[in-house]
Amino acid sequence: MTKYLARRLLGAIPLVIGIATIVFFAVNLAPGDPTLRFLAPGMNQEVIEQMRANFGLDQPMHIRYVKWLGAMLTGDFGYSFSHSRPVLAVLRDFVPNTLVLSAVALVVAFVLGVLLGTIQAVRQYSKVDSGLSVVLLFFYSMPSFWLALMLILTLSLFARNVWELPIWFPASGMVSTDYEFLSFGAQLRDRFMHLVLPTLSLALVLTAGIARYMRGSMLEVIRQDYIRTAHAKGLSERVVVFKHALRNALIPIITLVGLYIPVLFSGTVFIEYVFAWPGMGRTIYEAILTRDYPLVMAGSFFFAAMVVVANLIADVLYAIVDPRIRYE
Amino acid sequence: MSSDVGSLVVEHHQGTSRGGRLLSAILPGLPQLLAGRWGVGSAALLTWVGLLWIVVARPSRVASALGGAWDEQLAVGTLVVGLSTAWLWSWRDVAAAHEVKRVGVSVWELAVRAFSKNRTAVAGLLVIVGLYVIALLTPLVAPYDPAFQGDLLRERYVSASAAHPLGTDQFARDVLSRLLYGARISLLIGFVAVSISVTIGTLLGAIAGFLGGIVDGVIMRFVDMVISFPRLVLLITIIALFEPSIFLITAVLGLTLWPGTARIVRGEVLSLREREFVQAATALGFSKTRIILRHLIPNALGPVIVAATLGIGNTIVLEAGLSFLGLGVQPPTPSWGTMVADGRNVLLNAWWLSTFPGLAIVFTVLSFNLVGDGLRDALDPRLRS
Amino acid sequence: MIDRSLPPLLSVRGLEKHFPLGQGMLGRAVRHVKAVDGVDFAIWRGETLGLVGESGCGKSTTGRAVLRLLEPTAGEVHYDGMDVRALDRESLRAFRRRAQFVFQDPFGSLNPRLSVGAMLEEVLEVHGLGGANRRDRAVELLELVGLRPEHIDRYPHEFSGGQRQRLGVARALSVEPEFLVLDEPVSALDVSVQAQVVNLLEDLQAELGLTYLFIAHDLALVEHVSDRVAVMYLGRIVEIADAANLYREPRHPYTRALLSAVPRPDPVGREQRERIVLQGDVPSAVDPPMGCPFHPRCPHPAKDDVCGSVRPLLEGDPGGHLAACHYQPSGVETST
Repeated sequence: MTKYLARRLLGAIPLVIGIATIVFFAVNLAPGDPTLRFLAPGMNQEVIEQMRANFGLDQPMHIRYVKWLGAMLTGDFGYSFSHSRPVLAVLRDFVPNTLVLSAVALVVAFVLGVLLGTIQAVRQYSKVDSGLSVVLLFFYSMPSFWLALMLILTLSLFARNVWELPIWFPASGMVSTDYEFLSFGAQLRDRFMHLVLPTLSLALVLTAGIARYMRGSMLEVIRQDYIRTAHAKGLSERVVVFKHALRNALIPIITLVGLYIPVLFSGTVFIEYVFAWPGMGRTIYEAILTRDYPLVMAGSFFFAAMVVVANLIADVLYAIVDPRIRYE
Repeated sequence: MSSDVGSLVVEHHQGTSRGGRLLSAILPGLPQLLAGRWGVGSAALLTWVGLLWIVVARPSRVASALGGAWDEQLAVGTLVVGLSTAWLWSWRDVAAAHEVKRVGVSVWELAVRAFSKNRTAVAGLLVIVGLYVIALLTPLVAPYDPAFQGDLLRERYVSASAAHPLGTDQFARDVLSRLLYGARISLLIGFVAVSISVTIGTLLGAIAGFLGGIVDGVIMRFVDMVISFPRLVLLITIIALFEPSIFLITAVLGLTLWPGTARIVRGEVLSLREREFVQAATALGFSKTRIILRHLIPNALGPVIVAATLGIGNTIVLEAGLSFLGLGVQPPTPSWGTMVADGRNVLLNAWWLSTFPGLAIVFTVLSFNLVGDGLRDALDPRLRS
Repeated sequence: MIDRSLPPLLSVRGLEKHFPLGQGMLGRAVRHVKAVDGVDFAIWRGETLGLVGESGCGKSTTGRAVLRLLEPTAGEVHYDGMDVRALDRESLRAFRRRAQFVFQDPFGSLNPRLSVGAMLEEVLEVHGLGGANRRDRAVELLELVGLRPEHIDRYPHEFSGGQRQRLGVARALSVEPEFLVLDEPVSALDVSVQAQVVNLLEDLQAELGLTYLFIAHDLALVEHVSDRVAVMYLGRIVEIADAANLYREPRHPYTRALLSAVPRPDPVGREQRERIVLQGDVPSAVDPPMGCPFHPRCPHPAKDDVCGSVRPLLEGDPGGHLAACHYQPSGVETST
């Protein structure tokens, strides 16, 4: 197994370098000069040149490329124009928020998806199965940003203003404005309440995909002879399903989750935008609009690298779960 | 001599007789519906009735469209073609022989038959075809011009009413009409982008799978790189850094989607390569080009078609997302994504602005997903035999 | 009749096909599967050479290597004087018109998307055959293998196994070859259908003057069909002789064991025959044993250390009955 993992890790390195290269050229070959933001009429040519030198834009492309590659090792990703801080500091502020949101959404989607898919498979052809199929298909076809707005509409705006329900969820930010003044318990609650809508918006679409796939995978497993043997041995339904069938049905789901990680990250751009969540998705979006090259490059690279890492983790999980690979 | 006949297919046509012809001439599709062939029957009937309604309800509009802009002429053309196709098909169908002996049922025909049995999939297909037809007919069907602004004092933010079934927006424009015009954008971009990606992806995937070696390694490395990248980030980056236009959006959407297809095709080709008919083609001295184009790709198309159909759905969602962020189709061209974004600020008071375009997206994508699932079921077991 | 005074149509010397196995750290293969490990034989015009052995002995690989469907890793293959391994693309294509291959799997060997007519017409088109009306020629080919011309627009999945195999033969014959390699052509068919297809093959050989390399694992079938028979074990030929001689007096211990397992419907012979049961499993072709490949399982009473260290060569009556064993029955000249 270590050989398998070592090979995977080694294979990931050229991938990461390749991604960094694509990012660099995609950004730097685009038209538009970032320094134009700071121009004022009548500005001295020298000042402009000085600014360009500060931002490292006066050097030829290949030197900048090498520096960029080197940045990955040193951590010096340059200076962000739009935030007026080193890029690394910007990343440090926003990356954790995105990770929290993504991780929670992923866990919710996975658990819910596996659960629903299993229920569907075990109760195939029943009303529960058909009903769930319709609902899941509906969510699967939904754009996450629209789902976000609809959730805000119902669970936040209508709930609060029209139906006047006792519980409603906040629609923006990670914490309330009076966060600092709350007690610790209230702070936790505040964080949780702010997390609900964004997580649901991000997770529900993925849940639908996972549930559909899980249903198919579970159905295939259930038909296998070893499940019949388990039943014949007299084991209860619950044990058969959870101990034997589930394990094997989960194996392809791991691959699926690996495929969904880029989708998850793409989704954070929309969700963070809608909910004003202070994370990398929204930051990158703004950075692109303001042509903040260093931040764009670092952010894109970060996302892509996270995807590679996630796939590596998926490979590890795969190796743990599938005994065939373990002995390679 | 041959010991058995194989599967000889005999099709029974429910050909109806004299009364049937008269019925078909007035209401094409009805005889077939009554005979139980609800799929083709309802399609023909709906087409006939719907198109006829347009002519009857808006004769002036149709007349003026004849000399109008190219898309109006296209709409009239679609009208004529649709009416004549429905009528002629029904006529021919009713008059056909009672028994048609078919020699040679190809794998495709088997798949079509399996697909037809799947009700939800056929329903999805009808919806999609209907959407595309409506998209072509929009200049004749939409109640208002999408850019037409009503009375800015009284008609802004009107919720559902007789004049505006889906309400109006901040510029007193009719939401329904804008929805219809937005459909054209989404459907067009979806189709073209996926066509681009399927073409490139199939060719490269087949070449990589069949030739193997260095070619395979290089192509697959590139594929891995693009797939690992969150597609949206790449799209936003490219579109924001160059100026957004329909052409650019379509091209970029297509060019970021092909790696997925390439991977699928490569997988298919790898398993096909070991099948003996491919080795036979080599043994018979066929060139590699011929083997790839005429033997490998046609047999690998099953999963590609499924992925393409689902891909159109995904692309529509993605295009709407880009428009939502302001990086898609630019105003005044209506796009579902832009409409959702417009409604965001007035969510509580004018909820219909964001809701209906989103619902339109959901139902459109849902139809594509139904068809995609149906295709997957219809094609999969057949291919393997 | 077979004229053995002429040089053979196909002559194979020292043929080897090794497959790399696994990947070392640098991607270079460390071990190989020695599927074909030094094979010599010759086939004369008009004859049928049967190639038998158990699964995995390398007979299919040999058949493919001879036609360059797989590239041999070593050895010489000469067809009608030409060095097959040295042929360039053009000459290779010309060679393919003279030597063809019939596959084992009737289900997988036909393109499911092409109708029978389209398949045959494509072959004719690629090689410029069939004249003005290729469809007529395609119909002729169907009739040649005993299928009805009306079926020309049918698709493979509409035929039975036996019919598909006939189609495979028709396809191979469409280029008008002189030599056919038949890789287990009837193994996947029901027994009742096997006889029909075998009869067809024999009729075609007589009618068109074909030469066959007939690969199979069914000994009784091979005896019936072949003029000469070669027995393979672990990538090597261990015995080769006229069919009648081989079956009457097998000289290699492996051949003897194989033949003893063939059921014979003769109640008298049943008591006299002794079943030789081999011990152990067939070793893998990755690390074949030193010396004689069969020696670990060989029941020969005279087996000794020579068998385990020196590789036996094919020896015996020159041009006739040869076996690769150090201790062939007395009266046979060997180097030991």
